Amino acid sequence: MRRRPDTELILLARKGSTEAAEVLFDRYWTYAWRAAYAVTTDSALADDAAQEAIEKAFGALDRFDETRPFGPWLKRIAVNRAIDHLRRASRQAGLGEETATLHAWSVGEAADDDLRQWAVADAVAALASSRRTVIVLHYWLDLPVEEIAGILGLPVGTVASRLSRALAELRTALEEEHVV
Amino acid sequence: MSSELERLLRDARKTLPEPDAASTDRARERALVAVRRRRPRLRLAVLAGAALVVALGLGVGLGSLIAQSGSAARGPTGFGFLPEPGWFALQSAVPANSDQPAVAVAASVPFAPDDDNRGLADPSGLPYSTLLRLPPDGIVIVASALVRGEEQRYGAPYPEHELPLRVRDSVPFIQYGTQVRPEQPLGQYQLRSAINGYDVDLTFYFGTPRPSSALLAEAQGQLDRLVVSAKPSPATPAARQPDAVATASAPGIIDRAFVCVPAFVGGIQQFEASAHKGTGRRGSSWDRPAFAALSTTIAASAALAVYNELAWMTAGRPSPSSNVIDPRFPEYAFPIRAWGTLAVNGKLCRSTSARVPLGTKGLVRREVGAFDDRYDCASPRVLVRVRATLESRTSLKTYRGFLRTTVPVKEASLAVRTQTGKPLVYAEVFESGKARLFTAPGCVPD
Repeated sequence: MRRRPDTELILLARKGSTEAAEVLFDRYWTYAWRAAYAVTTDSALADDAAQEAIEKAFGALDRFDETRPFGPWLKRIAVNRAIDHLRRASRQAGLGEETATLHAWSVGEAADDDLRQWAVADAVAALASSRRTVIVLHYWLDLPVEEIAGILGLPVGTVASRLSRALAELRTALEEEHVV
Repeated sequence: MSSELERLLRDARKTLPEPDAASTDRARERALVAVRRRRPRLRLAVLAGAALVVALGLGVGLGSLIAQSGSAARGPTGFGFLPEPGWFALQSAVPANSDQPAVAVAASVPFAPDDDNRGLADPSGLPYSTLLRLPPDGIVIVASALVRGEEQRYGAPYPEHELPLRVRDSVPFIQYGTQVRPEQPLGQYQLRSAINGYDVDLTFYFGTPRPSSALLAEAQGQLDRLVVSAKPSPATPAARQPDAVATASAPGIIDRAFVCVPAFVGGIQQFEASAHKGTGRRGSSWDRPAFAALSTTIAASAALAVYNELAWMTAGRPSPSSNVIDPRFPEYAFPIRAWGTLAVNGKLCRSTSARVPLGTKGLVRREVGAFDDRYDCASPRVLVRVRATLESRTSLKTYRGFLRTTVPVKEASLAVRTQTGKPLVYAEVFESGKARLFTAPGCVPD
């Protein structure tokens, strides 16, 4: 079956096609949720943030410029929502006894590779949230430094220095564990 | 160097989990509703009005459709449901103690034959066949009660409540991170309460992910008829009493249950149970303290060998040279003082509220010597309970993928069951250096 381009699905959804909207949803939901999870490291917060993002995006299809890619637009909304939720949650409560993990809970066939990636994900999760956020936004969600600065409301130089310090910290932690 | 690290970082994004089915369904609905809302207001208003009329009609219809012919189990003795008209109830045959829960189940639909053992509930409490065919307007309430022991008062999440409980106090709940019926999700909610000396777990299953107010009211009607008898007799400690030395201080107790996933080995999921007694006593510490562990095989590399451990427990103070695994290479040692006197693999195990009794019933005692005696047991997911009396109060903290404590253990026990409740392993370790291991007869020496 022909893969219908996003633009076609968006135009159909604007006319009220729930079928087109569902295809678009299936194409991008996991992507949006993982972006929210990467930022929040919390399934419940990611659920809330990603659901709000998808609702907002689908409700604003009329205003979306269909000549631009849909995925990055949705990701940006999901990241913004996730950061809002993260800030709210950090104001409300301290950390529980079990810190969050950033990796899924299953072992694939290439277990050693999985463990190496887990070690990296654990090291990222162990970073202070300000450093973790810039690492996640830059390396996992592929956002350029300038865009991260815009999202976080920080000067570009601050984001760059946080990235640099976070990388140094990660390198130290992963060298200790013989991962790099 | 930096580019290698950056490549690793980018690769690590693959480890991110995916949303669960319930969240996906909710998001899909919100997306579609958002798209529909963009239609003209008048049409929306007409649709909303029509929906309201239908919903009201359904609510009235549901109320009048409740049959009056529900069969009832025997009346609850201490703990159970008095069935509402049209409801069905089961309860466990034995009363609760601090180790074994009493279970009661109520359903607004007849129980599937598999689940109804002449009015008695399955010890697991889960009427699985009934849930698999639960219609959209069906409700099942599963309640379990455990006599509250001393160890359960340390911050256990059971707030004091009085009867009747309220459905609206429950929270969405997916046990073990899975839906009972993923292709047609149920609404699953949990409510925990401390009532009359019992820790009571209630799980509500609705035939639809988002139960209507009519369904919630119906569930509340049955919940109003939950009986939890007056204060039970004093709790029986779940584990052996601490010895005289231990009782002289105020020990901390850790008592947690987990669901763990053994790795595939030769096509089947299996884990190893092992234990050794303490050796090399030096004053107050041990070179090799009494030890029991569950392990599986996911990593071949010596550097990562510790990640093969699902859980381990030691007893007695470890020396600086005590290791979780006897090191094949000195650079890959995993000192107990750092990795934990008691630990559970956070990558392969997750917390669960499932009850796992500690005991040797149905198990065979195995010899435990100075070296690890290992037994292979095959099972997919397993329930693991660890219970330890420690030198001071503590909790399990995350350390390199494990939940662990470094506080020395006075004595500890570990039990493993299948998810259907079949006992597989029981082990005990004591600060005297003694260790005991029991396994199911089907577990074979490695």
